[in-house]
Amino acid sequence: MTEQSTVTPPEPIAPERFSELATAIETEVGRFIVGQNQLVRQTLISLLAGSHALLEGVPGLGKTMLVRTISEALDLGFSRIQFTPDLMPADIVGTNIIVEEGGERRFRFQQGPIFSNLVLADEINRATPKTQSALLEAMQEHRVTVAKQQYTLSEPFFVLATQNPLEMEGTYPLPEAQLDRFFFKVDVPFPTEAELIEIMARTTGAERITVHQAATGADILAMQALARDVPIASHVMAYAVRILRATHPDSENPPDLVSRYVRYGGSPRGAQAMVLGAKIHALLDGRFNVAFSDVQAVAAPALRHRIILNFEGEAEGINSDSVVRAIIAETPTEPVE
Amino acid sequence: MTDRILAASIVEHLGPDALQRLRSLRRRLWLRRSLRVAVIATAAMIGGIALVQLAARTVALEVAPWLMAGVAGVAFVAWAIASWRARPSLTDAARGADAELALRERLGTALELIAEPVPEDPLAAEMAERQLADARTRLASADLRAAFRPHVARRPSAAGAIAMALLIVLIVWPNPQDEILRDRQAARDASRQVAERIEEVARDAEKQGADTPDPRRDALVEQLRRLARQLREGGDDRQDVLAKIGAVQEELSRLTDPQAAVKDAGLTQLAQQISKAATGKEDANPEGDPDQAAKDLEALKDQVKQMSSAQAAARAEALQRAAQGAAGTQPEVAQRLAEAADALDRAARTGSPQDQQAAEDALQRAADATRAADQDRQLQRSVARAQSALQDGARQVARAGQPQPGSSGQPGSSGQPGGSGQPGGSGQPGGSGQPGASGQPGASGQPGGQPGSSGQPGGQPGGQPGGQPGGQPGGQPGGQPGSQPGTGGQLGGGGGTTVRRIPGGGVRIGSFDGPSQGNKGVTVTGLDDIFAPFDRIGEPGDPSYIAGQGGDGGQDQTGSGSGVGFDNDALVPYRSVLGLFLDFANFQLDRQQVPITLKDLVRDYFSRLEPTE
Repeated sequence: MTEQSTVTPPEPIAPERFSELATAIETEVGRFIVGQNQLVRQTLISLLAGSHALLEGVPGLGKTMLVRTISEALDLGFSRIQFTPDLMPADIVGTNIIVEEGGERRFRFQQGPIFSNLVLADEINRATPKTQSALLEAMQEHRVTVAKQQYTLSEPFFVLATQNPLEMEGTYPLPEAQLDRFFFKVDVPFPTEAELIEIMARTTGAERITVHQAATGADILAMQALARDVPIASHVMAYAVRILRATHPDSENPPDLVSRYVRYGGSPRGAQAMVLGAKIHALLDGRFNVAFSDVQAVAAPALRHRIILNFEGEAEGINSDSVVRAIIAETPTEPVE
Repeated sequence: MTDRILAASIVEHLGPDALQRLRSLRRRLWLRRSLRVAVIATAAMIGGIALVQLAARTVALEVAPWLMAGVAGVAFVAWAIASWRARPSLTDAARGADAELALRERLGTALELIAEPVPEDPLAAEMAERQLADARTRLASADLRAAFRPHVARRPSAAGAIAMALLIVLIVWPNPQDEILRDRQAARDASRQVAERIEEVARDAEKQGADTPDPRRDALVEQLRRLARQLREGGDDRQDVLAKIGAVQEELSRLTDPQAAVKDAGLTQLAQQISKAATGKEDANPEGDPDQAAKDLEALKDQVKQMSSAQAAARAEALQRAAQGAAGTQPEVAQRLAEAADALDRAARTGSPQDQQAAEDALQRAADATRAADQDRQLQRSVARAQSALQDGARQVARAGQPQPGSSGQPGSSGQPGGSGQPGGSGQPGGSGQPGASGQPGASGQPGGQPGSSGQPGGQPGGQPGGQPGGQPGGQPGGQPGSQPGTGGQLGGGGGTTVRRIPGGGVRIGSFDGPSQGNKGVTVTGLDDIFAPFDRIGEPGDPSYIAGQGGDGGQDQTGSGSGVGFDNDALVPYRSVLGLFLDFANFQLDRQQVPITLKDLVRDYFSRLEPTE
């Protein structure tokens, strides 16, 4: 038996409306989240792309708060799963339980926390691979299977997983294949001094900040549909592909950093993420076409978790962001005399 | 999609103004690309020319100007082709303008959208329409002058600047190979001139014997023409030219009869005597034309039967005398003449028709022999002219492009003016001949300096070369014959100067009573290794010019002595030019690095030869 989604097909919206909604969402989130503009923008792009994001940052930087705020601004269902080593797949997707109805016992599926629009998978790398894969399957398929029964997740479905780059003991780092399922990997930077002061002011005062609804789930679905219609010129598409190919050390004329420190480059999903993310970035920028700068803007979050460094790169402390920056610097947009 | 189809779509979707602006952008982009290619081509051209210049400094590259012109031509053609191939399309211009005008790929995307069919999805179609409108608006408001501003590429410019600096240095800095090229060119020019001269000599030789076949003359002409052709075709290498000339000179020397001058003079006199004997007239054949003499003999042959015995005997005796006189110089002719004289004498004595016929035949043979001798003389003269031309040409080629000896500056004060010479006016060479009178040796010293100076463009007249020849020949030949008429074995100088063909047309025959060995003594011992073309004697600038030797043209001075004079126009006494050789030897010894012992050897040689008086 398959459970159908309850969300009706979205009504088309105009690009201007897209921009208005996105701005409203960012504004509402910004009322609660101090600074972190890139974090908010990239998270929103992941949401509007209909995919999922992996947030990486040390504890206490507002990752959970960001997801909660987004859910409040969008008036979508929100659930949080704190991943621990003893967390089981059933704890995420749900399980069949025996219930008595009308004097007879029968199994009834008890939905897990995955059945929500916005799911925060906190510290995903602390759960066992078995549990991680249960979540990742749901992320990819937008449905779960329990006792040979498939259950479709409601749309929009957006998973925001977090992981802590520190405290790696007792963790289960996500394998590359599963990392690849995340649209973006968003770095959560430490706030600046001014941002910290503002955070102190907002969180230690008597005033309680409330987030207003800026968009609905239907709006998000409509925005997701519109984003895919943004035209992209062939030479811009080719540029995205060239960037992706440049992440591979065995490609033609790779940058020196790639050939020295990269073991594997990004998958085609990386190029897909760049192009779709660039489209949304262009719309957020008020344009109706994708520019090279849009591709460059989303290249790092789209590729940083898809580039696998070799041992030398790890030993040298090279990070994926520097590799992406080198690739962008050395990949020509288009020869113009 | 071609630009033409794309242009129609642009007009349809973006409007004609957008098309016009895109075309303007395309022109500007083309101009920039063309300029960039031009800078590269120019840099390459300058570099190429600099390389050619560099190579021209390493080796004497005569084709360097052509190579440089070729490099420039290739650069221009390459620029034109590359510029044409760099012609941008509208799409290129749109994409370039996106970058140049910060249009964020609006134009490039728009041109792709209008090139594709309208999407069926209404949302996508609306999005495309929005994008086109956005692109149209941005293009209309863009400042096209900000796009594709010409800029010079740094690397080619830097390379071109370096090459230009090198080129300037190479042009300004004197090229040591230029001297070689000039020298080669001078040698080539000289070779051409020599070739013309040789060709002229060959033509003259051919013309002179056109009526009588002579394989020796034909061979001479062919050899001269071959040499002229070789000199015209390959006159670059001075040594090679000199070697070729030398080879022909050697060939010609085999044809040269050492006694040619004696024979020539003897034949002239013999011809006069033959004509005189054959006609019985004293003034017959005054020029000594052998052909005329042969004709006179033939005329005599025709008169044999009509002549009286006394007349025939007188003719026979005269012919016998002529034969005896020519025995030393023209033995063949002398023998025929002697035979003819004997036959004529016999016919005079017997009067038989057989003897008369024999006399006629003998006279005809004598005439033929005279003509043959004339032919030999013509050949020898041609050979002499050719030798002269070759010697002159070799000297001209050897000196071509090189500083003349006089340029080293021989101060005129060192010259010995001709005034120091002993006037020959006092000399009265023997007999009726007045050879010495024709020379004004005293005065010849002055003009003798002129030729020397004319050969020294350096401005310092060579008094020494001019003065010495003028004084020496003027004094000695003129004076000594006068004081010792008829006895001086060495008085041939007088004879030499008295018997000559005067340019004015007259023939001066110096005859004297003295023994003929006197003439020979000078001819053989003093003159045989110095040769000067007689047709050049007296020309200004000729170092062999000896002023004062010439006489008045058109005067015939006939002597009656039994000695044989000869035309020694082509010969100059060695002592007359000794000063010239000494000066030149000194000049060369000073100029070149010659071991001291060898210098001394040369100086000793000249000091031994120098006249003591």
